[in-house]
Amino acid sequence: MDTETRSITLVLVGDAKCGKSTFLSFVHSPCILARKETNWRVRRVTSKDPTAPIVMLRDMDQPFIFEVNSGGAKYRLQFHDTASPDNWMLLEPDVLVICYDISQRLSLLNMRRQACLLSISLHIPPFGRTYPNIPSNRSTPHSGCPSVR
Amino acid sequence: MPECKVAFENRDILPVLILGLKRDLRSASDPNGIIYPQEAYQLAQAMRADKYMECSAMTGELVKEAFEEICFTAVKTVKEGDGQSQGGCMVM
Repeated sequence: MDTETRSITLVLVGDAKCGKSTFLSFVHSPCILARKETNWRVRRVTSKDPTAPIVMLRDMDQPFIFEVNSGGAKYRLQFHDTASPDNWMLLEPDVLVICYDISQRLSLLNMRRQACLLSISLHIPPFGRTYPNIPSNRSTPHSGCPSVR
Repeated sequence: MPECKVAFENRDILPVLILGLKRDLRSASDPNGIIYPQEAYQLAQAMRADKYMECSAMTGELVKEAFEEICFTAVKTVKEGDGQSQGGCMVM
């Protein structure tokens, strides 16, 4: 059995105020609640305990580390919570999570813009635009930018 | 330069996940129109993302599932090559 812990870097990108930190804090809160650290509270409404607050993670404590067991092996997930679209690449992510706010159409549009930036940095043609002389591994099923109604 | 290596490394194995947040705030009174999961999923497919997820941290709805999917993908990146899906975008 492999007992060494492997580190995996994950980066969350998305608009400010779209809920990235709240999402991570929600997942993280049981561990922090045990430590009785309280600085910033958001009310959590769950069926079990409607008044239990989420303790927000502090940005300065990044990366947020989650230990995960899978198939007898231990993994260390390091979450970087960032709003910056420019330099997340320097964090050398293994997984990229793009977040958007379902209640804000603007954040969906920003996600699309983010994707355009991403396709440039990943060296794949942006939506549907194919370069005839460069063979691409990725298929391009869509023609033109998808229209957002 | 190490920065150059980072920037121009083989990045086409990077798995990209789409996460919709504040699911509880999807309301019919939104002046810009409701963003239905279908629409966002279509966009995710056009972006060639690997997975599409939605959750609400306010009510706790689907948070566990979404986080599990993220963990699952993360573990796959070190276990079996890359965590990318086999063509197409998966829905949680």
